[in-house]
Amino acid sequence: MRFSGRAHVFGDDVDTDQIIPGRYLRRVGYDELGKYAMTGADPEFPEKVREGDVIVAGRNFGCGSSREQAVMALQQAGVSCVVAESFARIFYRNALNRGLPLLEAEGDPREVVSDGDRVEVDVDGLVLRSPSGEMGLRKPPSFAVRAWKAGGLLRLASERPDEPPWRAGDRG
Amino acid sequence: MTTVERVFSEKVGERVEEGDFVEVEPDVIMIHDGSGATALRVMRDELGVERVEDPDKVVLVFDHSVPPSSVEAADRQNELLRFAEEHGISKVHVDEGVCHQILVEKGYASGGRLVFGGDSHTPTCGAVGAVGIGFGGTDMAFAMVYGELWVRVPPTIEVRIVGRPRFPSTAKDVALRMVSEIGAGGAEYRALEFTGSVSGWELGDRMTLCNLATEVGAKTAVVSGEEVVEGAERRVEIDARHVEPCVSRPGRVDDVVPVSEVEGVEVTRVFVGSCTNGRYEDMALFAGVLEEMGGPCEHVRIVVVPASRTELLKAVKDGVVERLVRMGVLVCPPGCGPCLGEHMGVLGRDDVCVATSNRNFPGRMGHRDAEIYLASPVTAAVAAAEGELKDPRDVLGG
Repeated sequence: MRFSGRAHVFGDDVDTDQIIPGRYLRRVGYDELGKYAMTGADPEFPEKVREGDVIVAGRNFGCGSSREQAVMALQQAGVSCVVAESFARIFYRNALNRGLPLLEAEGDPREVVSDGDRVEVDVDGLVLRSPSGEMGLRKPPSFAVRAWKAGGLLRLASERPDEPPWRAGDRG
Repeated sequence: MTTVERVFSEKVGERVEEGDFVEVEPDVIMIHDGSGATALRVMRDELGVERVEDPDKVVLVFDHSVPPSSVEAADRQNELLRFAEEHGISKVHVDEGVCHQILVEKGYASGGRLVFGGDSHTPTCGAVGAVGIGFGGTDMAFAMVYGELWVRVPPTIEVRIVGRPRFPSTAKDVALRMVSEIGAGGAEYRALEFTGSVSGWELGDRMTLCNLATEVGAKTAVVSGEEVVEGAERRVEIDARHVEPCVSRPGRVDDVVPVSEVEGVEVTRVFVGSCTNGRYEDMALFAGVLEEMGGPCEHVRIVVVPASRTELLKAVKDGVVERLVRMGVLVCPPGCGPCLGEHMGVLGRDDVCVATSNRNFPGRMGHRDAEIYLASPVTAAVAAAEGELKDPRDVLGG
């Protein structure tokens, strides 16, 4: 599993109000969230982002509100994965459920990535590569990688809805 | 064994400890008009299964967009009401208040219970000894369909509170101090267990403290009845007696400074409310200080949003609402109000707001350039009266 695309760099503690501002939650449909992705931090992001692009950020990405629309907005905007120093837990679960890979870097990934760089995120090789260097990625839990590869726990559940996807995984 | 480990062990039926992955059935599954609508869409359009394993466990609250702020919001709420009816969900609370207030008021959350809530501030119910954990919409759909979720049992940080805050400092100032001590992501994947004087605090003050635990990333927070938490990863001690009136500066909840450091910042808006500080005591305190200072400054617009119908009724009965209205304060219906920037007082580009709520992220309450200072009802009242931030001790003594 690997992703390559242009990097969009954000700071520490990017909260879900920045990923999808609250005023859009009940103004637009669930399928139109991509048009407003990241506008709380960068109003031009929806115009700049291209399919497959990667978000790079510091600590505690996705903190704040539990709104799952944050993950939906990023996916609809074309974001392939997020690399950060750490993630907030509800956002992490939401992304796991929806199949958006979140990779923790071994340090602050902004040390090796500048905004606009073409980067490669090698999930199997556990490395983030950019023109100015590379940084190791922390090994994600194996159940998370399985879920990402399958398109998320929700996708797995929809294929075998009779039992919870986390139990089905035990046998797989 | 920590309180959180004990509660998980009881629910799972065997001894579990921090780091263990468990599949566990909660006692309560709380959804609101936001997370509930997402969960319903997940069931219908993505999972392809619409089922509620145990409707008696489900609590449905409308609070985020009440009364509905848009056609979309109204449609989703109507759909949720039909869903509740079809599946025999009877614990439905429409327009009655913020979900975290309802969970405690109605007794759904109580000591030793495990509450899974579709809202990040679910740890608030730790004020009554429940273990509350927040989730997103898909997890709430899973919880309703399968009756369980997977969870990793978190390690605990003990937060020992010494003494009580001295007026004009309040529990909110202690909570903000706690956030700044631990930092925005400082308790990520961890539980906070409060010991010390807290177990003797008023319920509302305990809720304020547990509510702010979310802002340090805590998975849950609980007021422990124990003297010491055995097995805690580390301990943080806060001496409440010496906590000054403080604010979180715009942009970061953990950027906490004494009010004295930001004196003179001009204020255009004041918001008193939310699951953090929207209870009767907060409204009464705000009204009292504002009156004592001669009423609001002319150019400050003030919104008060009670945390629940019950709290509003208390404030109606003893005249607090009348006093507020006479001073020109807009008293809104119970709910989340402008806290999440959707309606009832959204901020414009140039607004500077003092809010008693829990988040001041850029754009949280409206325009991303608007500034939000988080503070106690006392500090908010002083700002409302002066038209600028001012140390309450300078005008109220203490």
